Amino acid sequence: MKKVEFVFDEKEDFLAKLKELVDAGISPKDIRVITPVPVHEVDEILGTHPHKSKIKYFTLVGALTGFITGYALTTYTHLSWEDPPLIVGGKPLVGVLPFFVIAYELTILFGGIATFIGLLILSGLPSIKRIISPEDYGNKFVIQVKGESVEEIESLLKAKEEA
Amino acid sequence: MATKLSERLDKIDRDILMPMVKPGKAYWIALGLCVFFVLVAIGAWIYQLKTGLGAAGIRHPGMWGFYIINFVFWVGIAHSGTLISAVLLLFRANFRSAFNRSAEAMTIFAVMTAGLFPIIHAGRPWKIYWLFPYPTQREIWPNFFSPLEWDVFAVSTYFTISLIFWYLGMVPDLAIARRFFGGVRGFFYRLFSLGWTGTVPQWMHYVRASLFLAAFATPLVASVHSVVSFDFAVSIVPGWHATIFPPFFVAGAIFSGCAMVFTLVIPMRKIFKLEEYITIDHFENLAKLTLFTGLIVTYAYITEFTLPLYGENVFERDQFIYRAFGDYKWYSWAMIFCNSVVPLILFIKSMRRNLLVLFVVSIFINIGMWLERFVIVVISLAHEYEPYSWGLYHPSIVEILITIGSFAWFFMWFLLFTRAIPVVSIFEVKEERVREEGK
Repeated sequence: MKKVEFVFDEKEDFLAKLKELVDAGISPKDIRVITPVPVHEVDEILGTHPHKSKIKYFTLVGALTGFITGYALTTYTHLSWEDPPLIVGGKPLVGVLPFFVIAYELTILFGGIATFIGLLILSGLPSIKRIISPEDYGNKFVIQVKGESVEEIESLLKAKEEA
Repeated sequence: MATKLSERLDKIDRDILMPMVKPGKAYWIALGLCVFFVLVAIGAWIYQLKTGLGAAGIRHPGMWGFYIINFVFWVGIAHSGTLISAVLLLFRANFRSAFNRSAEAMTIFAVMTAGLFPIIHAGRPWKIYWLFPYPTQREIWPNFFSPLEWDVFAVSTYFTISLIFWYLGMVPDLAIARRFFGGVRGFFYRLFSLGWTGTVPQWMHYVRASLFLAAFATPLVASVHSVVSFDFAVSIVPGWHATIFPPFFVAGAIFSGCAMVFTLVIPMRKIFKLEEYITIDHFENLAKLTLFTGLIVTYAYITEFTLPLYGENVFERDQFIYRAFGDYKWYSWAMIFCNSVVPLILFIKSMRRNLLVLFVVSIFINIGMWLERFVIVVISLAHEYEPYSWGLYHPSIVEILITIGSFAWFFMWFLLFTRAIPVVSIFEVKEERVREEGK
């Protein structure tokens, strides 16, 4: 596949070029941007605000699973001795408050692990190809445009300027 | 500012990564000493395993001694790591990036140290897996009403989440480190950076995941030491059975953790020449946090002492009179001096900005917070309800050696960390630099 690459030393130049490309009608889907640090202006140009990350669903499902597991595990194990029930310290067999501690901790545990797994899945990590040969531009700001040649992009930009 | 932005960022990479390359002689001496004391402690533990728990000084009524003190102390130390990382991330406090990596490392190593003590304290440590719920033929499950069982869940959750949070923060930095190192070391950086590229979707999910983990870690900080305090507060021992314990323990934990950050980072900054990235302003902010939590701890001491004296419970009142004027009175007064009097010097601005003063104060706080756990654990057990069961606890040489070994174990891991992983979060420093220049 054809690919055009722009490499910048300065953030401002990089942002200007990115804006220019998007304004010229290149779809943000065809633009791949690599930066040394998260740059919030890019989010505005490409519409990739962190709010839109699907990672929240992983977190939510993990946390709910943890909470339910916490109560299910404690309740099930304390009820597993039916006849006679195993009463400890004269307390009720199922205690909502003491079991809440376990449910609370497991909410955080499962939620945290799910968030981490979600991050790995969504951002395509670990990538064996990139572990073997990392794609590394150091501290430079990079724009790659898929499916276009240099001439095509230049003519696009020129058409935009004339219009 | 004649140079290009990318070159200025390259300089940050080099400044932070270069000290990892060549350890000096002092480093190897320090590491050797730590390993030596760890080996001594292992020897002491083997002796205790062969002889039985009688080798430790724990006997009736002081059934909890140095091991439990150390457990609570190290869990407390672990707290400021996550606090500094998570809470300050949520509040967008800018002095966070100077400390977060080493504070998180401290958390991991402190939990690793703390986790050893219930095992050492157990009479049959090879059965420690009984603590975890797993199906057996005997159909016996842990007692989920027990605060000790809550501890198992709280501490293991804390360790796991802190580890994930620490590692997550490290991935972009390991991707920087892989450029600088070849060979086996470079291979491990490549492996653990997971093939990180820094594309926009990666950063997008990354920023979001960090925020969610911080949001989880913050209530976790509060819950873990609350649960540890339940070990005491849920019992009926005078001096332990107090509703003030959870917030008191959490504040104390953050207080001691901040002090440990000073103890570790002040020498590290000097040795690694990180003056440009960990500034005096950063230290001053952390000193304010230390002072604040120290005042909360002092307030808790006052409440803890005045309420029993004012109330009608003779056992509680007797316990607190015994604390102040009984067999262990010097421990109590030393604790108050270290935790409530010495930190007051931080009210003076020039003292907050003096690293030598901060270092000395942090040592006092470390000692004071260790003494606080001694006061709570030992004095309460020594002076319970019936006079016939009163008695004194004295640590044995085995317990003392294992305690020294635990400090060596903690510092050993920290020393290894400083050579293996960037000690300051590079990409966050760069992000701040880029943002500031853009203004």
